[in-house]
Amino acid sequence: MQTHSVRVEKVKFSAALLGIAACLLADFMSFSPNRLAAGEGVSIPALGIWWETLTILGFCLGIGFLSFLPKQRIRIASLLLVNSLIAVLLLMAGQYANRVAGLENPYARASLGLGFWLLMFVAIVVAIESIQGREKNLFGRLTLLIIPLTIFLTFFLSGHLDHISLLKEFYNRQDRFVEETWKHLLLAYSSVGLSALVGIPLGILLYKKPVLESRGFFILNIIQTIPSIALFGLLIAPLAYLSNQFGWLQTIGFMGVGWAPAVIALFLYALLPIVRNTYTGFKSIDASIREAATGMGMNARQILMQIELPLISPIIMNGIRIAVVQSVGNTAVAALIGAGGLGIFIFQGLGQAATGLILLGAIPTIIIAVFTDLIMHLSIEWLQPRRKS
Amino acid sequence: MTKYKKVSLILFTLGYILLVWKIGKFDGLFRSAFPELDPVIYERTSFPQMVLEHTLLVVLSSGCATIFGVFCGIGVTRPGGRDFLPVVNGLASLGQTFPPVAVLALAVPAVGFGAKPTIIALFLYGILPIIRNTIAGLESVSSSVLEAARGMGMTKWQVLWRLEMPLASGIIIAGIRTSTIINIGTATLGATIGAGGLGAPIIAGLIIDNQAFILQGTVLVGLFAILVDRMIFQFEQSLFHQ
Repeated sequence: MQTHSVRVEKVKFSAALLGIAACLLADFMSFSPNRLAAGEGVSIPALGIWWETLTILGFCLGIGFLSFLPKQRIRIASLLLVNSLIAVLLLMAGQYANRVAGLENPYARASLGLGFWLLMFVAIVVAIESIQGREKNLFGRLTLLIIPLTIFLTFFLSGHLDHISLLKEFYNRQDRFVEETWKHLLLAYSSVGLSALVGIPLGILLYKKPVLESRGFFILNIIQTIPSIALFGLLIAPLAYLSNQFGWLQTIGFMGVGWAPAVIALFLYALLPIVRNTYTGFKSIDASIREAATGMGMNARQILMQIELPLISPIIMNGIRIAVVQSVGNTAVAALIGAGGLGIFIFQGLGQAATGLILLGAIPTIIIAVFTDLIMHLSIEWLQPRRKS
Repeated sequence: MTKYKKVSLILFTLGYILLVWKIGKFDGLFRSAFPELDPVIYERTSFPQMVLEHTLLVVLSSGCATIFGVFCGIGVTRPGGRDFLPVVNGLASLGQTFPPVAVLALAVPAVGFGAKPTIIALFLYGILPIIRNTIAGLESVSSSVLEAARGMGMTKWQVLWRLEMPLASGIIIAGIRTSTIINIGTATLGATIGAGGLGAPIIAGLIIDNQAFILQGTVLVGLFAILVDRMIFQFEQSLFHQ
């Protein structure tokens, strides 16, 4: 028998140390008597409930303990630990908010503090570490995204989190939130859809006509380089001029501000990744495949539709994935030119220095971006030619 | 060909400086285009100063992000730091799906308003492409090359600085370029949280409905981004034509 020296797994060990520091030193929540007053930080020991501090410390020590065990055997254990940590954090945050900003104190605000986010970060790091090597399968993704989200939704639906400032802002404008979320999705997705309709043929064109290639990519690169707010802004004056010249444009809402400049700019931004990937896809096709297809008597159109496009569809889809994730973010900026979407809450919140409102815009935008990315990844895998095992 | 490109880049830069310096000369042009507006030239801060502020925001954040990102990328590809490689990779690809504007907005509750949260947000977001490309670049160096170098008696540091880094530099600089361009765009949004820079006339113009202000800001920041992109590209090219 061979004897092994104990090998510490560094990631979990550092995560445990960070967790202990965050628990004892950072502000877990912050309290303010009304929406606009500056918050006063409260660390976990200052919450005044000794067993809460002990529980969080216990979780951190547990993660530290796991770092001494072989990684493969403790996958399930560490995922359980991490997800329970998330649940306990939400439980504690909700409890504190109920206590200081509940129904008796409707104007008081309890916001999530740095300590809360650091401990969440610890949980995410340990989760990513635990599913290492299994990122690609459904199990990994489920544990990383869907279980924590289910935990959050359970707490949310049970009403336990209702008195946290973020949720208070949400209840104050629930209908508006739903409306702007749909608008955000519509703007971000439809402009990328338009872009795909134009970009895929354009990519094929640039491949077939090498004269256009360098110029085409030069222009698309320039567009991509221009900051989003600048592109939105540049479109305002010409579109306002157009809509003043043609009255019927105004009846459909086509004006210098609003959805028109947003859709056009988002469309232009999405072109580069889609065109580039279509182009590289076509370049990557082996000449012998085309020869074989021609030899079988297929015409150019059949080769394109039945051989080439299906073959490179994962590459094109990857371009669309990059474009649509970027588009979700740029749509938030489009709120500045009156296009609506979740960016409205971000910029209103920044204008009023209202933390809860900022988060109400920013966090859903991040969640939409992450989920869009995940769904696109899954569909790309589904398109990938299957290998027989 | 490259000489021609270098000359045109220098002319572009000089032209840009001239435009920023003398934008007041276009007063008449803006007046005839937007007769109903007064004033037509943004005056709260001078344009050269806004360019300087914008440059400072980007240079500080992207500079720190480059140092930190490359350092981290090297760290997690050494034997001692390999444990962290999957987590760093996972966090970087997760973080890159976060919209930059959301990261900027989240920096405000954490640190307040002004240039400080902007620089912190730009720094954090800017690290991601640099770390990813540093890791990708270092991992792309073939192991046979590394073994040959060790066989020749090179130390670990010599292998890193004389072999791995030069071979990876193309991919690393591409990451720095991506990161810097994203930061120029996000720094423009920094004007909404009081960080100054070239976003200020755009945001002010949007608020008081002054299209001349918007045009001045957008054209200058657009050209600024294109200029910086071309400069880094040129630097990249000159490295590989030595």
